[in-house]
Amino acid sequence: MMLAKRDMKSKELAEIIGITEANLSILKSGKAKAVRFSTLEAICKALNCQPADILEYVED
Amino acid sequence: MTKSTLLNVAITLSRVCKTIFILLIIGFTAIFIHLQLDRSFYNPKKFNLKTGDGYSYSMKWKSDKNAEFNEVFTLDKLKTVSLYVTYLKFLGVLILIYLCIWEFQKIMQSVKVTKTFGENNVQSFRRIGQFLMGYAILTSYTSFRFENAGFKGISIPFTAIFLVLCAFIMAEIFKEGILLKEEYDLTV
Repeated sequence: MMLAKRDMKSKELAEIIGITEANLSILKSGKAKAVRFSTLEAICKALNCQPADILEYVED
Repeated sequence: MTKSTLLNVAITLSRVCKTIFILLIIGFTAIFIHLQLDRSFYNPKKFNLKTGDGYSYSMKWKSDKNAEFNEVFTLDKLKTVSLYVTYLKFLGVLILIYLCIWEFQKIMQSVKVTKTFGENNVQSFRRIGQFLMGYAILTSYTSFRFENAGFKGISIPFTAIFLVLCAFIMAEIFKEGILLKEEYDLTV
């Protein structure tokens, strides 16, 4: 959603934050078990947003 | 010695050991068959009857009190049933050791291609544990029946039991390793 707002493609974001597209896909699909602070920081910096804008709690 | 060299040495050694065990199985079977065809050939071949390592208890007897034990414990006087049981027991031991080496080789090969923490290796360690347990059971009891004598022995093979425990513990460690790897792979 934030990507769409910024009109940015996944590939572009992956390149900016320095992770693979596969890892970005894991993040987007919610399969990730943990997110490094450095990754979170890089995403927030690239999308110019706060962690709360990209994280959401969903009950299992 | 680099990791790759060490693994290559281990894999090569495993292959050599497997070949030696196949030759041993063939040789042992050949002796088993030949013994039934020509028993007199084995007349001077005397048994050194001892039980395995660890705590052991043995009992030997002979019907002729004047005869020496090494005179009655000869291969040509071994009873047919005892011969078959001994053959099957040693064959089982050789096959189990062969299978252990095979599983070990599979683990080394997976480490070489950096697939160390996989379900296959957990299964391999479990199988090694089971094979070694079979080995421990087979080697714990010794029984030979000769024409006029006999030998019975039972022992606790501590080394084999220790290796069984090691193999099962390694399986659990690798199982834990799979979980850690999965967590690591899914950390972005």
